[in-house]
Amino acid sequence: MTIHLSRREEKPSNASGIDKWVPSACALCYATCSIRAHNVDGVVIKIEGNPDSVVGKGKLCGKGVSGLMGHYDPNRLTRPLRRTNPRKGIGVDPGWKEISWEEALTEIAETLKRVRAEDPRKLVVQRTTTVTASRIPFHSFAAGFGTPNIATAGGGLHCGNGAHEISGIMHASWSVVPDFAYCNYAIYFGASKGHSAGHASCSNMGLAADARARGMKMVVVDPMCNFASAKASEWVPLRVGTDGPLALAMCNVIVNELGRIDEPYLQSKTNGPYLIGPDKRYVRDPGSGEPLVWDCGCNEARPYTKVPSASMALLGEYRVDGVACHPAFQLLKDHLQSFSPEAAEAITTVPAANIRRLATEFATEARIGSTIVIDGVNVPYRPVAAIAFRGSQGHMNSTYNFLGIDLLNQLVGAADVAGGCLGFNPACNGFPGTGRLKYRPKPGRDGLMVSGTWMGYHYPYPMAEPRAPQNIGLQDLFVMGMNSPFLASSDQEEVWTRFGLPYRPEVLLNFGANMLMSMGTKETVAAALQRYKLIVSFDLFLNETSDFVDIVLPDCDYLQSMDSRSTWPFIFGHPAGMGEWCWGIRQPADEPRGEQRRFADVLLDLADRVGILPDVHAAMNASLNLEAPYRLLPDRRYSWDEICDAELKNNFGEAHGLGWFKKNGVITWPKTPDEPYWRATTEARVPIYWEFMVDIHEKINKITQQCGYKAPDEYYDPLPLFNPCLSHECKTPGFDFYAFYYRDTLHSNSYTTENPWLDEAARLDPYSYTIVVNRSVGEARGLKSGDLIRVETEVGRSVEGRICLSEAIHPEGLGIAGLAGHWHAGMPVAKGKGVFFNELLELDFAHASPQNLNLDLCAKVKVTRIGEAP
Amino acid sequence: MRLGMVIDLKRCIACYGCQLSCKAEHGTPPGVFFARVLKREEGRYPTVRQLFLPVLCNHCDDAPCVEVCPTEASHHAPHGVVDIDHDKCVGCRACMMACPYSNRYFHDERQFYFPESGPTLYEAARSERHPERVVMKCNFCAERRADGKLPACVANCAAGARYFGDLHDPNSEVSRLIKDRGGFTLHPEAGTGPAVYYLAP
Amino acid sequence: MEYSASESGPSRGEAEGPGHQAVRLWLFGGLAVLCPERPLTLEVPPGITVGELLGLLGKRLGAALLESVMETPSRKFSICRVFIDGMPVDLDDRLPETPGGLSDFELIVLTAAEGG
Repeated sequence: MTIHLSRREEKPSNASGIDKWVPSACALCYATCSIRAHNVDGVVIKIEGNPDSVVGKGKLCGKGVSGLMGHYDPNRLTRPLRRTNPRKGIGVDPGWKEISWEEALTEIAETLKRVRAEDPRKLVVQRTTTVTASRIPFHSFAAGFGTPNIATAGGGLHCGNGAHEISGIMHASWSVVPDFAYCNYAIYFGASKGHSAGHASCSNMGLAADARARGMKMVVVDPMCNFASAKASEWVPLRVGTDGPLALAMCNVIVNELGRIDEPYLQSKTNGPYLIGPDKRYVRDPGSGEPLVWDCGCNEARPYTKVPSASMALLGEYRVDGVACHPAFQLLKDHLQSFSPEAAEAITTVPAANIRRLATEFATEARIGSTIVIDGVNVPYRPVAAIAFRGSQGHMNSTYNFLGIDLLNQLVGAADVAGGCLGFNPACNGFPGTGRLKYRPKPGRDGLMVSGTWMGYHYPYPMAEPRAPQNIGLQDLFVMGMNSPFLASSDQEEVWTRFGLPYRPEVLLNFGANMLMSMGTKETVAAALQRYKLIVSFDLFLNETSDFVDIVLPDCDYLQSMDSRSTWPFIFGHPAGMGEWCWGIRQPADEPRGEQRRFADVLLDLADRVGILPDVHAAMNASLNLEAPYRLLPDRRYSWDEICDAELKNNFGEAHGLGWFKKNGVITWPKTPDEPYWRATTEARVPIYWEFMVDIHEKINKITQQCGYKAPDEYYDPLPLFNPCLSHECKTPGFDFYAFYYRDTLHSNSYTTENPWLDEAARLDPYSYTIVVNRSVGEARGLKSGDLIRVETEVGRSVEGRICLSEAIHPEGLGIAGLAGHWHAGMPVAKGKGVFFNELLELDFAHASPQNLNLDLCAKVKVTRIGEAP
Repeated sequence: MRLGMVIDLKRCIACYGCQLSCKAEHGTPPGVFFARVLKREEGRYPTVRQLFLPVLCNHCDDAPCVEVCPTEASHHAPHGVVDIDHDKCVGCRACMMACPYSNRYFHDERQFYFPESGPTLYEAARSERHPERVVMKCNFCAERRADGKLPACVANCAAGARYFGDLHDPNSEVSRLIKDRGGFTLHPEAGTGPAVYYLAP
Repeated sequence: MEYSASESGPSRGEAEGPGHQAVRLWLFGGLAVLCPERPLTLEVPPGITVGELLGLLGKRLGAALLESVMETPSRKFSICRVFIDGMPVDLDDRLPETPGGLSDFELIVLTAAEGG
């Protein structure tokens, strides 16, 4: 093995006398907070938040300030490597040989040319979620190449299939957050917004702290009391994976026991009045095809566009052309009756009395009917918010769990109004200088809301038409899915054969994702990776996945890279609510070491060699919305910096190109109340009744009929149900803990465990690297904190680690901070630290949601002591 | 004028931004954190909560470390800041024994985070300043203050949980917070007169 | 860095039928694999809609093209983006009259969104 590492680095020789603060963007997690990096004599000696930006507001979390220890890690790759050992396996030495970039790119381009000529879909492009700057370059490469196969390893499959899709359908945004400035009562279901994680991480930390100081009550539903729950005014522990029934029981109390709903909101902003027939579909006007509502004014059914909202019936039974039908809200109301607090207590372990109290508090604090004047504008005021993220939606019931939670907001009209549950910036009036970046939700099919913008042009509503799969993840068949387990499931081949995938993937182009650790149990992923003919990976370090890679390309990290849109799209990680708009860039604060190259430039080089440069340029023109004179010419060779310059000038005018942004870092302009609180003045409805599910279900079944597959009814009802994860069905004696993972405040995915500062802090933290079990339960089994335990699933998957007995966890829960437990020598600091939770997860069709492909992320486990506390 | 800090535990979320921005500012060796975050559980399930307690040198008025220092290396710098003159420190560690808060570290020998490859460029640039065989600790970021900046942990706190100012000025933000919200110090029974105050969670 | 008709192609094509106008078609990405000739010049009736033009293109290049572009017979995929002379258009938009020049008609299918 002849790997040249950048050990005992030399300072850049011509850097003496440099002393500059470089405005740029963090990439320790996907929040991408704005930073300033201090370079003195060619060495980056400090990273601070950029106070000119609202994204981070001049502050950073522990991860962000530690970035330079990862940057200067001597284990960073500095030269392209090629394996010499054709055998691929976990722990099998690939026999790395250093090669030149020319050799590497020539070999890759030859294979890609062959594959594209055969079938471009054989290429799979995968990237990590952490570096948001990789989206445009890699998606454009994939689109230019002609493959639909884009993936983010565990991203989405674990965290976002439900959360992002439903935030999109209901809030026109990637995620939701309380309107911290005005909210008085927030209820979190398995989310930690404002507590050092996720979208708008550092900004939200400040906003949430201000809200606490102001007296906002925060109820946190979570099996473990750690981050958001530690700061909650009330922690509601529950059985792992049962957030949905809890929320639905609260909805039931609000609707059927209290009757405290926002009728004008439901009439005008939802499909609650749309009449539903016995076939569960809208009753439509024969002429226009529009859904009908019951007009109480003239006592007849009329198209929803013809009736004043206030006259639309929400309740009752009506007959249209002799057929009995009901307003969707009536059906929801009836449906909720099956979620009594008593029934929910049995499922969730949350006492029925508490469920009633929480629902009453939520509905009371909503102040239905009230308004508030903000910046001179009178807007609806509902100072309550129910939000959710990874914890509650990381289950097979992902969609319904998230929808049930959001219904709390919809019932009381607390969606995208002052104090309520806000999407992250669903509407923007555009940059005043150019009018560009303007977007706003609008009514689409059946009057339901279509997002103003999205993470690409694949909008969450209207949902795509199911089709026979052409995508290896089957997201084009199961159209509610975004990321998919079939990227590496144990029954991948069986699934592809069964559903008729017309080709098989051959080449994987990976950017920074450590797939072997990021999806599920490692042997399953390993087997999938072994089937590729060529795997190319852009990486900072050799890692577990490298054991399966053919060519490793040494990447530049975020302190060495360029990105023209670090705070865009605003629906992703820009702080919600009032304040400022802020567009920032990332730019290099340091030079590449050795032969490290920036991935975006490598992709352009590769595109040129494969002969798809015009196609990649066309994809960039389309996805960056470039217009003349900034559109890229098909055949001209651009550097990535030039493309960044074009995007910036395209958005902000000729005077605000890359040069301007390099100097100034960010451009800002004020928000107006009609942007964050767009809902009241926007003619678009959201579905409290998911009528389109009926159609999707029918179409999927029509396609899969010949494969002998029928999508289960209970996952395609227009109203939310509770379908427990497969792991909940394990009743084998001894397997009595629900193992779950959570995102630690000190780490992002798994790669930050290689950062020695973060690793050191995590070793000092009681929970970061341990397995947390309820103290009484543990003690009853003779366990002591510090004991070495084995955690084992029914099928024999297991992990080991030190136990931490805690009062702050549900008695049935077993909490592990995800994601740690590296074993590869390429990341020596990370190696052996913490616990590799994903080893406990089955990756197969049975454990994927038949609705949105989200994986079953809980595991029913047995705990055995295998060693004493040291 | 007496410089002091107020830490609002209601705001603190234990993101470790203080602990690590302090490390980044000072380039401290492995194992040394001038600022730290401690976690503790209070109560029994399910009526339990987690308490987060960020700690650092308390810059005591009646500082036991200053008192026991045989060489006057530990001393009161202007505005009540307790600092260590490394030219005078002989590394006897009496101050570490005397400090009721365990916020002092002995730098026995130069160590680096990647021991096999020696100092990174960052460590080479930032850790030279720390002499060996002496005691080290927080000095409320003397260098940053000389440049007119707030201490790193204060400037970086994303939750806005840290305040810094003059405890002797009754109108300063820190004085008002202590008065209005009943600011308290750690181990008051030790009678050291800390300059770091906490507001209840 | 303008990408425009005047810079990047030959002059106006010969009209096929009376009143027909020539359009230069640029198919990118996976669509380019279906049609190696780029640009492809097509004679079309004046003022036809983008949807009708796609229909003509489907007849010329085969069903695979329409399958990649159209989600249903009346709706294109949202990830399929169409531009005429650099400006985004939808199915109902009409081809502009371009006296003295050709219209450039660009078509690309982007990738669908994934998680984060």
